Amino acid sequence: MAQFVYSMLRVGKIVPPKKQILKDISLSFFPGAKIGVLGLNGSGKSTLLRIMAGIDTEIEGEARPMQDLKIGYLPQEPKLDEQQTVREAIEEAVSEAKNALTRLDEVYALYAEPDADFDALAKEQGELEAIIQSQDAHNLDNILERAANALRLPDWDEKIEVLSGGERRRVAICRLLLEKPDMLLLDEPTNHLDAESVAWLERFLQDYTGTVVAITHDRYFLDNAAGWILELDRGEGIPWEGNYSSWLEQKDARLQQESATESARQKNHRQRARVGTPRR
Amino acid sequence: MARFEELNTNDYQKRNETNELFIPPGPRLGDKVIDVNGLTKSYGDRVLIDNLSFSVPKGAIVGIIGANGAGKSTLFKMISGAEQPDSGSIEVGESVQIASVEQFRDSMNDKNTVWQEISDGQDIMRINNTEIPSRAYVGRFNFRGGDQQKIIGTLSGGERNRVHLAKLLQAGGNVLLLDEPTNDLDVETLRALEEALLEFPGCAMVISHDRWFLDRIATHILDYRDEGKVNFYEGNYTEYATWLKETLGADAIEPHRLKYKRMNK
Repeated sequence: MAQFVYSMLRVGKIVPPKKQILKDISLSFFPGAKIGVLGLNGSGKSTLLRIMAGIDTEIEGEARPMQDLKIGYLPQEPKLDEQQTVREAIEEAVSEAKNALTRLDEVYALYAEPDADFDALAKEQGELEAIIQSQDAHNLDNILERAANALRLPDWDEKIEVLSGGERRRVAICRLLLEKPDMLLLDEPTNHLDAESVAWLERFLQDYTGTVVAITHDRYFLDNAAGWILELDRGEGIPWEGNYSSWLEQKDARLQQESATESARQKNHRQRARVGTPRR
Repeated sequence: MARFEELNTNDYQKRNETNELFIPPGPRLGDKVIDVNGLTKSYGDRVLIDNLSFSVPKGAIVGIIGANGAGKSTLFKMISGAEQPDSGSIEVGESVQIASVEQFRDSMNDKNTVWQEISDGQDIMRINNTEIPSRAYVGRFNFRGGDQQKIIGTLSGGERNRVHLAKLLQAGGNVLLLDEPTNDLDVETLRALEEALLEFPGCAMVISHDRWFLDRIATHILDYRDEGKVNFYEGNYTEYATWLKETLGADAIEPHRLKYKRMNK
């Protein structure tokens, strides 16, 4: 049986008074899948992401991530600590690696103590080195600098509280990508990025080993990075395996079919509508 | 009649998509549109634009790209006269009538409905020499049925953006200055906007980061680079990116933090 990273079973969402935003959505997500979410404004895309992020729990049905799945979520207006500098906000994302480096230095120093427990120290040293190795921590400064350049972050010493909305979003995206979660949930990641940064993000996500679910209107992004398109239409989720171009083709075909089955009523209705149209 | 209304609303609920947007053609545009000569502009001690010259030909759609803070909106402000260049000149042709978001950005009444805000309460809107039922005009910006009664103060960012766009486009100019019109538009409306711009007989300068959009509509690209250098290129985004890569190497299209040229005093 395939191991899904995330499963939704008959998920529905009703907002008061009685508006059904999502209904009966059953989806299972493959590990490493890149999914672009499409739909008109107000079709429940952000709601779907909030449910998957575990923020919106008042739902019908079941939404469940795989055990211990690390989820990273980028909302449209991400929250950051106002008092931090850009560097502090970004370094928090790599704190495990950073702490391992600091602790390793301490461990080296402890070897020199007269009553040092060499066995215990060697064990800890090994563990720390494993973390440093897996996260490429010796290269950390380089990694941070590259990420900050790619997303054109403000200066390292700038305070979060003085940043514009767009700058905050870029800091938040950068932080999220450095955390390397198993599943990325991105709500409009390309807004407030410039064309070159969008192209960079597209390449980054193509190579990303984790699962990516992104709400976006960027059609190159959907064409080049997405392996699946999930369309939300009138509360229902319609998955399509393929990129944006192939999705467009099938959608035109589907709409044609849909309008054919309703054509009798539509035709009748159009004729009547024309009767009442005021003349120019 | 009641049943007709109901049918109408049902239909809107079913498929709330626009396949059509409409930009009323402005007055006929002469040969001279916008000529920029030796333009330099600084903000604080940062040189945003250093000695830029270009000419927007008749019928051109100029896509404007570059990092945030590079001075893209500042150029619009100078073209519409809200700000002055430090040196150099911007000549605007006599037949040019500019429509720019600047004119409307802060002037929305939060208590109005979407329909009131766009139509000014008129049932029939007169745009140049054409009369259009206002409900139909507002509908073309993807506000259907009940959406037209939404209060401006309660709109989402994307909805506000569409109100802006509707107000700007009905101004009936023949040179449009659009600042990120593609933000928060759904894919259907984006496609509709592309079609509308392609049909539009005037000129447009459009700040955007949507490469697909730029590839479809742009005849020219204006790209803000480091140290106040701005490239003007004839072609769409992909053609420009290819040219950049070929002339400057692959590193040229890698994004990096903007380097500002400092003013020498």
